[in-house]
Amino acid sequence: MTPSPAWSRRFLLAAAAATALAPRGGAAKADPAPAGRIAALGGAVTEILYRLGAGPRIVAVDTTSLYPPEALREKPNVGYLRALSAEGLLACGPDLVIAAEGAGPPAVLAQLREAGLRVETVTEPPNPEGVLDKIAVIGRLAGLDREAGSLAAEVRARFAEVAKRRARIETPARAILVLSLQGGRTVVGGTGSTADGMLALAGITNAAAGVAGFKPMTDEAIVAAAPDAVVMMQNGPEPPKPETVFAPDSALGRTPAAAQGRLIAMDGLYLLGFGPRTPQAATELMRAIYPGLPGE
Amino acid sequence: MPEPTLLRARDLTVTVAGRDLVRDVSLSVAAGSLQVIVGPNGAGKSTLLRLLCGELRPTSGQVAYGGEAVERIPAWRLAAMRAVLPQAARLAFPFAAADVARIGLDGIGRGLKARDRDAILARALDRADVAHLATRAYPTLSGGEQARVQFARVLCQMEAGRTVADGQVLFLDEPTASLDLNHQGALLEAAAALAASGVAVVAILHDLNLAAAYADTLLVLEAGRLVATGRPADVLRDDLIARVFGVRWPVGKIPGPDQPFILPHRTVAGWQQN
Amino acid sequence: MLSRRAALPWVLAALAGLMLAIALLSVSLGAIRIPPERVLAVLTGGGSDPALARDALVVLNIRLPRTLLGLMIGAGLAVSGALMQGLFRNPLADPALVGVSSGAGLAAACIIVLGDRLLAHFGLPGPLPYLVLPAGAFVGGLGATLILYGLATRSGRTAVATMLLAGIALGALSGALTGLLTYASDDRQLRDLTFWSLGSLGGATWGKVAASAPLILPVLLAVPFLGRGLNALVLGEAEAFHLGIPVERLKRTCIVLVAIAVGASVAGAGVIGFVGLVVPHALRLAIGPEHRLLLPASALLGGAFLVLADVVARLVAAPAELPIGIVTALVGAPVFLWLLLGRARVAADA
Repeated sequence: MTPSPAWSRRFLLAAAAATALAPRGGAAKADPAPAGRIAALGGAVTEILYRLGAGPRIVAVDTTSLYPPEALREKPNVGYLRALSAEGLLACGPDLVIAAEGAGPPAVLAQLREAGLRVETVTEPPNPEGVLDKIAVIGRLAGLDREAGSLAAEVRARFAEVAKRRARIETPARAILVLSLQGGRTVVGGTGSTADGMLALAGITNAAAGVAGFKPMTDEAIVAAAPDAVVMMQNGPEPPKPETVFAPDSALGRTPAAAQGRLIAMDGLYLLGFGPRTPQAATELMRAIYPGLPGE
Repeated sequence: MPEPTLLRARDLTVTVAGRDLVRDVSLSVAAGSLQVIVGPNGAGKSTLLRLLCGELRPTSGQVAYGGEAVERIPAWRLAAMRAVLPQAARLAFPFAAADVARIGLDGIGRGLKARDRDAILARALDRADVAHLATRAYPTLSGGEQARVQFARVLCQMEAGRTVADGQVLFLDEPTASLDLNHQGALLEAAAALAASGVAVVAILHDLNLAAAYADTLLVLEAGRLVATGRPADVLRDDLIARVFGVRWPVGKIPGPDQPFILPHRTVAGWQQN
Repeated sequence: MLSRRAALPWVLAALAGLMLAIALLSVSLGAIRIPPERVLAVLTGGGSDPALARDALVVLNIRLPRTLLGLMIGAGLAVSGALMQGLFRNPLADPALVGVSSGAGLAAACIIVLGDRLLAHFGLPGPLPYLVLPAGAFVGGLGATLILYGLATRSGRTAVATMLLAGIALGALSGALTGLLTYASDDRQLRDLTFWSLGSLGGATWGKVAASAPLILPVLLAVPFLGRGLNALVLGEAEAFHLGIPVERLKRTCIVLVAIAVGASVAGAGVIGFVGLVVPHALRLAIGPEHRLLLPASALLGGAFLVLADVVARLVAAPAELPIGIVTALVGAPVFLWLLLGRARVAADA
């Protein structure tokens, strides 16, 4: 068999075990959900639907639907976004599937369409317009245009505040966003990635602009990039520790960020999901990187 | 009436990596004869056998069965004309002894009726004295028992082939290696009986006394060359034995009153069982 | 031991019955509860009844192609394992020894990791059409087999031992290259690659069945004719030649058939391990090494085993699915260990 990175296999085994052991809700009990049962696939999609008040109408979510926490707790989980189960999805009885782009495999989506199910894909450009478009599209699909309109207005206003804050930055800091340090690879967010979009939103220069997308960065490149701060995902209850991230003999340990101990940890979906909480995430990031920036 | 020549080999030479394993060997095998090849280790006996049974191509020279060059004979037809009893064969899979013997029938005996095949198998198992082991798993048998099962297989092949070919040659590659004395005798008696029925037998033997007892013709190989051919009584002489085998044991001389000697005795028909 | 000829029809009938039973189970069970009488109604032609429409869709468009694909792939993998064990005269041989899995894995990794980049390089719009992955994996598998065969064959004679060693080397090389691609992959590609290498029958469509059938079915049909030759081969290559078996042709045929069957399996469902090793090995312990029985029996049991594993994969985490490679490994590995211990015990007692 082709060898895979051990951590990735462990992750999948754990995810599989988690989905097997997770309490099942929704489909098993008698569901008094109103007409218009929706399968929400994708973290931002699920979050937006809950914010629009369509939570009770959701009959299935995927493993990336981490916010709000009740999504994975209460709703049936049809698996990883890119490895869905056709019959599993159908078993939840949705009338409409709203899927983030990249949902798959394509054969399963085709089978769902053949079953007469309406499957709509939502694109996710990592910028403010993308977030607003997502809200509008999902609102329209769920028949909640009014709610979507008000949510969009609220989010748009917050983006405007973020932009105002950003305008006050005199010298942009340089930072890199590290997705993971597992297996000896430092995976950073390069150009075009959601990390890039978020850093731009927060008025930070992406020091990892040498790579495209989420890619591992070599040690020399990290040292050459000389970021002032390192932003990392916090996916568990414990934030990543500066001592581990900035270990003295590691590449990250030889950056200006390490000298100043500037490690910012934020929740993954919150930071990179490009959902309704994006302006808040950007603000938090800005406050962490530019502590002296005057508020409104 | 001279017996027909079943197999003829002319000027066989095999050169591998600059070394001559076999050099200019010529011989002919007549039906009903029992020829034994002897020689020290490394003399090329096995190589010669492999040449004769068509497994190995010579660097130069030719092997012909019934006038036909062996390379031109397709494997399935060759299997009817000659059979080879290998040296010890371990099997990776736990076939039953009877099934191993039956493999001899699978190729060439395909056209026979099931009843005929069963009869041939039963006869072969009897002649090889392994009928009582028929249902035992081959890997659990002793070396000698395994050798006899292989002999049964070869007998099956030959009997099946008899329906297709006119003359048959049986090659035995050191068949007595792991056998008890009684089974050594039994196997060679069976080979002699086959020779008496018209099969040509070519055997490699290590034991000169066994060779002397059973061979009609003895072929002595030394360093790839055939250095003597003829009746055992004519070939086995003190000077040849000293030169080829490197021992000064005199031929035909009783060692001494205190050293007993037990020599194989060929019987004319049947065989000695314990 | 019973006369093989007498046992043959009974064993095969029993295995065929088992296979059919498991296939029926697979078509009847799933994340959606469909009562057995409705399943039967759909299967016996009630597909046009509007009341049964949704059930018909699930049974006929989702479960049935999946079951058929699972039967074919399971049969193909198990038979390939039996062929390899006969060819190498070793009950621990595995279809992967002929290089197909490494080649297919490397091709798949290339396509998953480099595919979009290549498209961008040539200025073509993405994404890659999804047929490219299975087709590429199949070609990669065949290519690797061809290389191995070429390395091991001199003047028409294939040295099986050389093939084994070269296969190990090639496997290590493609593993390293795959590792390189893994290292260079981004998050999404890495997940795709990992899922692919865990194997899955998900997304099985009639199209996939139609694409795999012309590759796997001929192999299954051709295989019984090799039984005699493989029996003789157990005695040794020289001995098989003496018995009149065309040995080199037999070896070549085995290698080609395995490459096609395993290549098609890997292309259709990713890497699924253990079926090719455990099914023929276990069968040989139960019904003996006679290949004319073992080969068709392996096909039947392999299909049944894989479909059963798929049922488990679909039900255990419903509505999500486990990758099937996990289930076959979780079941196959302990069974394999138990068989090995049995052998060790027998060997120690002998």
